[in-house]
Amino acid sequence: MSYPRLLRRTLLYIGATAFALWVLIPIFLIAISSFTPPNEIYAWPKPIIPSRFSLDTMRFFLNSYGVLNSLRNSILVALLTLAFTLAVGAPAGYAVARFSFRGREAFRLGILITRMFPTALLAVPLAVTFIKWGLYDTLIGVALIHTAMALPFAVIITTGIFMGVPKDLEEAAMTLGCSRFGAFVRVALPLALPGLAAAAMFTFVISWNEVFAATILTVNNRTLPAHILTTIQASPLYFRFAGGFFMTIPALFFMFFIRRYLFHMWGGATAER
Amino acid sequence: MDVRLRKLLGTDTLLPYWLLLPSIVFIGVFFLMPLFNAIMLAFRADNGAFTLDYFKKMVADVRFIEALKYTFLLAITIVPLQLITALAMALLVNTGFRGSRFFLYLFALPLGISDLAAGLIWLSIFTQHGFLNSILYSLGIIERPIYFISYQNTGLTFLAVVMAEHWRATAIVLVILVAGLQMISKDYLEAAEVLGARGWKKVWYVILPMLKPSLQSALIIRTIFALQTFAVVLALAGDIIPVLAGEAYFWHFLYRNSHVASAYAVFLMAISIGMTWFYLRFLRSRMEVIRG
Amino acid sequence: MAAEIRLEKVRKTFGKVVAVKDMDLLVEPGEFLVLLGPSGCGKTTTLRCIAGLERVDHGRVYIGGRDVTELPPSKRGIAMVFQSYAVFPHMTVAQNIGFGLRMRRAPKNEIKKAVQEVARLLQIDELLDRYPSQLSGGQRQRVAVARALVMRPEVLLMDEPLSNLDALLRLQMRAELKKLHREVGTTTVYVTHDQIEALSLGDRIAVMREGEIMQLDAPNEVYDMPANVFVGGFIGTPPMNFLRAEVRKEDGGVYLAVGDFSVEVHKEWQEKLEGMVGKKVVLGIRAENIEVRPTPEGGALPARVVVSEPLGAQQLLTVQVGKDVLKVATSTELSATPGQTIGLVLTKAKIRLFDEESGEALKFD
Ligand SMILES: Nc1ncnc2c1ncn2[C@@H]1O[C@H](COP(=O)(O)OP(=O)(O)OP(=O)(O)O)[C@@H](O)[C@H]1O
Ligand SMILES: [Mg+2]
Repeated sequence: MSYPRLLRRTLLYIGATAFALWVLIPIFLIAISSFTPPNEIYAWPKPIIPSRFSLDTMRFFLNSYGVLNSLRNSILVALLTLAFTLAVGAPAGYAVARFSFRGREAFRLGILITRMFPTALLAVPLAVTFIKWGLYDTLIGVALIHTAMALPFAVIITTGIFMGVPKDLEEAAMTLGCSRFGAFVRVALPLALPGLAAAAMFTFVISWNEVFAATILTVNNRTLPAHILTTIQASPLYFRFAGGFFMTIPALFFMFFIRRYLFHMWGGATAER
Repeated sequence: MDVRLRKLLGTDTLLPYWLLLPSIVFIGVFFLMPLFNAIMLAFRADNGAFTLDYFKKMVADVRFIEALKYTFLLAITIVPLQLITALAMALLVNTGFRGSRFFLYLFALPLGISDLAAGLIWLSIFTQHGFLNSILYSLGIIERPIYFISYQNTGLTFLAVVMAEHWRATAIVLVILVAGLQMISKDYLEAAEVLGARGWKKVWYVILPMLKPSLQSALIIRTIFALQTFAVVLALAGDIIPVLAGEAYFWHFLYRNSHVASAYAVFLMAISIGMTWFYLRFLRSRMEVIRG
Repeated sequence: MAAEIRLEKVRKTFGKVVAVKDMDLLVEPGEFLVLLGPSGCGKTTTLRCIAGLERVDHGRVYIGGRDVTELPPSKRGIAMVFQSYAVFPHMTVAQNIGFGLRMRRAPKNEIKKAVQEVARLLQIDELLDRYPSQLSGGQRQRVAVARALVMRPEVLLMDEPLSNLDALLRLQMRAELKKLHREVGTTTVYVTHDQIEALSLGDRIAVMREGEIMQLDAPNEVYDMPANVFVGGFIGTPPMNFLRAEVRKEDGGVYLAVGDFSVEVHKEWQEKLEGMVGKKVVLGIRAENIEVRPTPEGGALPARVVVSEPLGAQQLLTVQVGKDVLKVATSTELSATPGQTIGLVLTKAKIRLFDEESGEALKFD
C-alpha cells in the first residue's frame, strides 16, 4: 500500500474511532454509575471504575415506590401503541405502496407534514378532552397520543416495506386461487414480516422514550419516563442514574434489530420511487 | 366475498380509500381536533369569549422571555453543530472502509435513546462529583469541583445541555444524510473521478450539492425538534434553564392552567410552522425537503 | 379442458390513456394466440383484463362461454405466467408449484403427485426443494410455467415469459413451450413484442397498435398479407418495403408508376385496378421478393445504393428509389458500392397494395 493511502486509511479509522468513543463513553459511564454502590456515587474524587460492582443501585431503583408499576405501564402503553399504530398505519402504507388513486400524493404529503409536527405538544389540549372522555390518566389515552406521534413513521416505513414486495407476487397468488386478502396474507405479509417487525420495534421505542405527553396525560398511571421525570427533583442521584441506564437498555437492544431499516424512517431512499 | 357486498363497499375501486380511512380518522381525531382545541383553549375564556388574556399571561411571566431566549439559543447552537458532526460522520462512513457499516451502527445508537435518558446520562458526567470533575481533578487541572450545573453558572449549564442534546440527536441527522448519500448514484461519483475530482474536491463539488436536499430536510426537522427540547433540560438542569416546552409543562402540571399551557403549545407550534415556512421559502427544492 | 375466450367491446383506460380500445376478440378452444405489438400498445393490459387483474371500463369477458367480467382472477379458471415470473421467494419450488392446488384444498398426496408430474414435464424435478434465490432465470421461468400448468387451467395466459432470458435459452424455451402446448392443449394467450417468437409459436397472431387489433391471422398470412402498412412495417426483419406509386393505364394495360418507371402488376389485378386509374397507392414488397440486378436494364427499377451490410450468407442493401428508401437482400457476390445504381425486379405475385391515405391493404375480392 502506498504511503498516502495508508495515511488516509489511518486517518479514517482514527476519525471513526473518535466519533465512536464520543457516542459510547457516555453510555459506558451511565452503565458504570448504575452498578456503582450508592455511597460511592457521591465519593470525591469518584474513581471511574468503582471499587466494587454492585447491584444495590439498580435494586434501589427498581424497588423505589412506583417504579415497577410505571415500568409495567410503560410496557403496556408501548405495546398498545404498537398495536394501534400497525393496525392503523400498515393498511395506509399498503394502500400507498400498491395503488395509484386520487389523493395519494396529498395523503403522503399530509403524512410527511405530521411527521415534522411537534405532536407531543398536542397532549395539552388532549388532556382536557380526555378528562371529558374518561381517557385521562389511562394507559389507552397515552397510547393514543403516542400512536399519533408514531403513525407517520409507521405509514412511511410500511410504504417502503410493501413497495419492496413486488405487486406481481400478490397478483400471481390471486390467479392461483387466492382472494385479494388471501394473497396479502399468504404472500405479501410473510415477505413484509421482517420489515414490519422493525417498524413495530421502532414504534415501541418511540412510545417507550416519550415523556412530555405521558407526563401531561397521567397522574397516577405514570409511564416510566413520566414517573422518573416527575420525581426527579426529589430523587437521589443514584436513582436518576439507574433510571437513565434502565431506560437506555431496551433502546440499544431494539436499535440492534432495526439497524437495517433505520434509513426507511427518515431517509426514504427506499420509500420513494 | 359476495359480489353484491363487494359492490356495496366498492372494494374494487374504493379499496385504497378504505385502507386509508383508519389513519385519516385517527389523524382527524387525535391530531387535527386537538390542534383545533389547543387554539380554542389558548384563545377562548371559560365563558366562551375570545380573549388574549392567556397569551398576555404567558408573555408577562418572568420566565417567558428567558425560555424564549434559551429555546432559540439552544436551536441556534445545536442544529449547526449537529449538521457538521453528522456530515463528518456520514462522509466518513461513505468512504466505505472496512467496518464502516459497524461504525455507522455505533454512530446511530443514540437514535434510540430518549431525551430524558440522555439528560440523565450526561448528568452523571456533569454533576458536582461527576465523572468530568473527577477526571479533571485526577489530572490535577482543578482543585475542587466546578459547578457545571448551577444558577450561578447558567453559561456552563447551558453548555452542558448543548453537549447532551448534541450527543443525543446527531444520530437523526446522520441517518438522513446517509440515506441521502446512498441515493447519489455511483455513476456520478465515478464520472467525477474520471473528470479528475478527488478527495475534498469530490466532496465539495459533487457530493455536497447533491446532498443539499437531505441537508435541508435535516435542518428543518432538527430545528423543529430543537424547539421542543424539554426532558434533556429538565433532567440535566432542572429549572435552571427555562425552555418553552418546559414552561408549557409547568403551567399544565404545577399551575394547573391548561389555557396558558395551550397558549405555550400554540406558540411553539406556530414557531415550528413559521420556521418550516421560512426554510421552505428561502431554501430551494421544497418537495424534496419535506420528503426527506 | 380448453375453453374459448371471448372479448366483447372491452375497453380499459388509465386516466387519459386508452390502453385497450373497445376490443373484440375470439380465441378458439385449444388455440395458441399471440398478442404482438410495439411497447405500450396494450398487450399486457389486454391479458390482465382477461385474467381479471384489471377491471374493464366496459365490455364483457367470457371464458368458456361464462361471463367472467365481474369475477376475481381466482374464479376465472385461468392461470398466468408473469414476465417477472413472480415466483414466491419464501416458498420452495415444490411449494410454489403446489400453491394453487393448496388453495383449492386438494389432498396432500394428490398435490405431491401433480407437482412431481409437472416438474418432470418441465425438467425441474431435481430442484423441488430449492428456494427461488437458488435458481437461474431459466429455471425460475420453468417454475412459473409449471405453477400455472399444474392448475390444469382452461386458459393459460403468458406475458412475455421469455423476455428475461438470454438469446440461446430463449430459443430453447420457445421450442419447449410449443411442444408443451401441443401436449397439454390449453387455450393460450401469449404476449410478446418479439415477432420471431410470435411467428414461430402462434396458431394465430393478433397484431396490436394503440389498444386496437390491427390484424388477427395465421402467422404466414400476417407476414405475407399484412392488413395494413403498420402490420407490414412492424413484422419481418427487415420490415416490408414501401414505395409510393400511382395506378396508370396505357395502351398495354394497367401498371403502377413509381417515379418515372413502371412496375407491372399481376394479371389478375389488371381489371380490378382498372377502376382506380390515377389513384395514388402504396406498394409494399418484402426484401426477399426483390431480385437485384447489377444494372437497371430490361425494365428493372433503378435504385441507388446507400449502404451495404454484409450479413454472412447475404448482404443487406439499403437503396433509394425516388424518395423512398428500401431494404433489399442479395447474395454477397454482387458488388454494390454506395452511390452505384442497381436494378430491382419486384416479384409480381408478392406485391401488396395499400391505400395511400388510410394505409389499409387494397382488397380485390
Ligand atoms: N397501471 C397503469 N397506470 C397507468 N397507465 C398504465 C397502467 N398500465 C398500463 N398503462 C398504460 O397503458 C398503455 C398500455 O400498457 P401495456 O402495459 O398494456 O403495454 P404493453 O403492450 O404490454 O407494452 P410492453 O410491451 O412495453 O409491455 C401504456 O400506454 C401504459 O403506459
Ligand atoms: Mg407488457
